[in-house]
Amino acid sequence: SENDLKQFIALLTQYDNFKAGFVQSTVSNDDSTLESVEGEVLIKRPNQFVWLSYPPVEQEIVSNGKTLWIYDRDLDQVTIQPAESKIQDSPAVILSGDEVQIKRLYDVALNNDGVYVLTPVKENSGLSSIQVSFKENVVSALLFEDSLGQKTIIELFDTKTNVVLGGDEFDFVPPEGVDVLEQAE
Amino acid sequence: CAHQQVLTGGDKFEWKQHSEQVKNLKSWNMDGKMGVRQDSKGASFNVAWKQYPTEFQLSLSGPLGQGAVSVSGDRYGVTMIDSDGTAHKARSLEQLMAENTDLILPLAQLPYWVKGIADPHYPATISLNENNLAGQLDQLGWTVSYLSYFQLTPPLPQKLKFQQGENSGKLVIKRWEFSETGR
Repeated sequence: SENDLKQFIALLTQYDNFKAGFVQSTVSNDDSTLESVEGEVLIKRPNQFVWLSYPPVEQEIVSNGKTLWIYDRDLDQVTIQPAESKIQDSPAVILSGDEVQIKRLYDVALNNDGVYVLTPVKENSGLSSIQVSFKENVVSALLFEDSLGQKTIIELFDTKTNVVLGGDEFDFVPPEGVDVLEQAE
Repeated sequence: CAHQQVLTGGDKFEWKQHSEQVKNLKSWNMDGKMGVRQDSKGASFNVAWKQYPTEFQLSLSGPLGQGAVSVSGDRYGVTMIDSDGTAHKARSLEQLMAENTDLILPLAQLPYWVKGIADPHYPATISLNENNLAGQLDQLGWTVSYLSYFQLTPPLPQKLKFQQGENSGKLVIKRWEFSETGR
């Protein structure tokens, strides 16, 4: 509902930036854990973020709001794409509380467990819902469920808001000798 | 399972016997990451591959788990379910790839190349590395180079690259899983 959306955005926009560790696990529809990885996320509203996954995923996704870099350390490869391209269903967009994007993409409803359930406005986005939980008014977990019943759960910890930023965290510079490519469709 | 160790230069194998053993390994699981490149364009995705004697399931997912595509196949044909959940059927992997993506990926040969052997249905030339395992393999216009192997029984590749003109790919395998009997 409109009111739930307002409240959801209000919660996400209490802070200018947001830093946390995360554990991301993918669970198949028969509830067996397929893959889990840890990492760090840094978000500066409205559309800048660093999403760093540790080994074995070994991948860093950085956006400065204009350009989005995906650096696969294990492949020595960086792919570049415009920031607003189809990375829309990503956790970073949700965590950044970008009201325009969230309003355009999802219907937001607060369920009676205090969890915000986002359902994509676009029918066949392959994603069936995103559940966002809060603890003490800060995001604590996101649960993505896709149309095949597979769930991706992201639990956040050591969350800090309004940390001091150096100013260049979101301008990724590809390391020496790495393939730098445009993102293929 | 524990982090799988990488082979060092000292371990020596006998190619004939090794390639036979690997060829008979018909049931295996593999998790890894693949990067593909077509001249200046590229993409990377996580790969989860389950191979059985007469069928396979392969899932490719984008960086944040989105854009998951799954391909499954058996002796009757192959099916791809794309990230929107729509299914595409085809008689062969080549036809499936040609009709649904402009990505040039030798998916039909990869189940063999990923194990370090050539696709037995087509001619190939292989040069061995210092362990007497495949160092480079040329088949169907592709050049496959093996950068490292895992210390397994039989040893299986950890990093490989494959190239055909402007199309190339890199595959980094994180984990192999197979039963000793390989059936």
